[in-house]
Amino acid sequence: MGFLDSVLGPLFGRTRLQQPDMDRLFKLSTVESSLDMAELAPAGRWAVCLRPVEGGEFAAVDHELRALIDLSCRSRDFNSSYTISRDNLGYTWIVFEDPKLADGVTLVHLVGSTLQEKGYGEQLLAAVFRFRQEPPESGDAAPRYLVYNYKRGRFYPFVPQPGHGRDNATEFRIGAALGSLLPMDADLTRWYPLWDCPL
Amino acid sequence: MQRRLHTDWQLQARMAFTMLLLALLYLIFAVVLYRAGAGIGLTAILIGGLALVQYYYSDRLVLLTTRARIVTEQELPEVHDLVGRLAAMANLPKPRVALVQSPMLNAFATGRNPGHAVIAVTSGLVRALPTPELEAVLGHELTHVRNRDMAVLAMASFFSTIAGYLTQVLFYTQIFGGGYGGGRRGRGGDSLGVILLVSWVVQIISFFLIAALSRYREYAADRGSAILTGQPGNLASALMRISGSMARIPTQDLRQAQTANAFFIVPAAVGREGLVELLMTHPSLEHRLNQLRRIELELAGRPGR
Repeated sequence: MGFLDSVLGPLFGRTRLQQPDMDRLFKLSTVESSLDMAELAPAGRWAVCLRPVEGGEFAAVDHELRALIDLSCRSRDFNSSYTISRDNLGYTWIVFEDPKLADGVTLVHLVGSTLQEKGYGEQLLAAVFRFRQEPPESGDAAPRYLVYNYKRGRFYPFVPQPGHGRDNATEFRIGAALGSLLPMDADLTRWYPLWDCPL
Repeated sequence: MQRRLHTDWQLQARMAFTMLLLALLYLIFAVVLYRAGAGIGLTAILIGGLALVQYYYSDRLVLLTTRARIVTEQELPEVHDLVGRLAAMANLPKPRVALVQSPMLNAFATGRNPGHAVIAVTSGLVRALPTPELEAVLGHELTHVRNRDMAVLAMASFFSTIAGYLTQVLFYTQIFGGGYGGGRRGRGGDSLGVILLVSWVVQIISFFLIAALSRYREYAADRGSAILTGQPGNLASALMRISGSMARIPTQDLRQAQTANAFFIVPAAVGREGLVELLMTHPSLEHRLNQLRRIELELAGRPGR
């Protein structure tokens, strides 16, 4: 957001949501070979989280989006399925199941750019990618997420623990390991949690 | 690529015009103070300094006077989650969350900048509102944080605070006459009487201007909530629920902090139905609902006006 939006905007009480940064998302596909350094392995679930808008226009976009995803999944031979759901905070999650990380990134990007084309780019909150621990420890199937914050164009790790807690030590390690390969958010106060993430 | 909600240029114009008038008023006042001589000037600077200190510690002061307590995620998970998501959407650091034990339904935001912000809710609000409405209210408060309304209104009130203090002091020194008494001339030749008059006029005019500015910022916060959540209907029903409850619940709590009242989503002192809106810091419920209705139409793709 330029000077006009970030300074003059608030001065005059104008609220404008940040446009999403689509490009940096693709960096994730380039780190596939380095994931084991961060003790991560893809867990085959990827999602886009957005805030739906009231009104007929958005509902129409929803239909179009589903049709588009169906089409792409079939045409590109993606071995993937998807679900669209709402969480208890009113956000919409489009969750893809696909064993390959690269496919996941492509699908997520597809959804994002379609929404942006229709003018709803500002509603995008985050893209979430699920991983698991590698090498897998017995009985530990706990998810480790890499979250891409569309508004800031940065990634950050999110490792939830039972009881509304976060495994900060692991998150820190992941952040350090991937920090040179991915645009990680240096500001820890922006590592927003996504509790009860349906991935 | 379309933007979903168009800027309300009328609101923008009114806000800009009000701020311009305030700036002009204060400029004139500053000139008068400057010409008034060292004694008055020094007093003005001292009061100004106090006002700045009060602003700097605004978050702590407001929390103290309203008896709000900072709460952790474990204590109030739903509110924290909502505030967190909204902050992510607005690209702001997440404000702290505070709780006021009160049956009244209300919320406010405070803090000198988004990095030191606090959003407070009453226990009554958390109990009464369903999640979507609670989110709308929190979106409204977060917009206040983002728009730095605390800072804007503090700046707007800065000189009126000085004017108010000077009015009082000079009034009493005029009455008790003697040493300082009427007719003593300052450096520029203005008598204390003139300064008293000017202070008084500045105070009155700025009162109306600041009230107007506050109302426009409230409209802006309502718009902001609608944009952040994409659901103006939620805010509309929340406002109706809050306003409806205000009339029934006895007005005992939350009256301590008069300044904090300006940032309550619906002013605590409801029931003054006959008062002219010019004096109010918040627009009437009806006007707020009208704006939300227009926003809803715009979002549905049908321009409201």
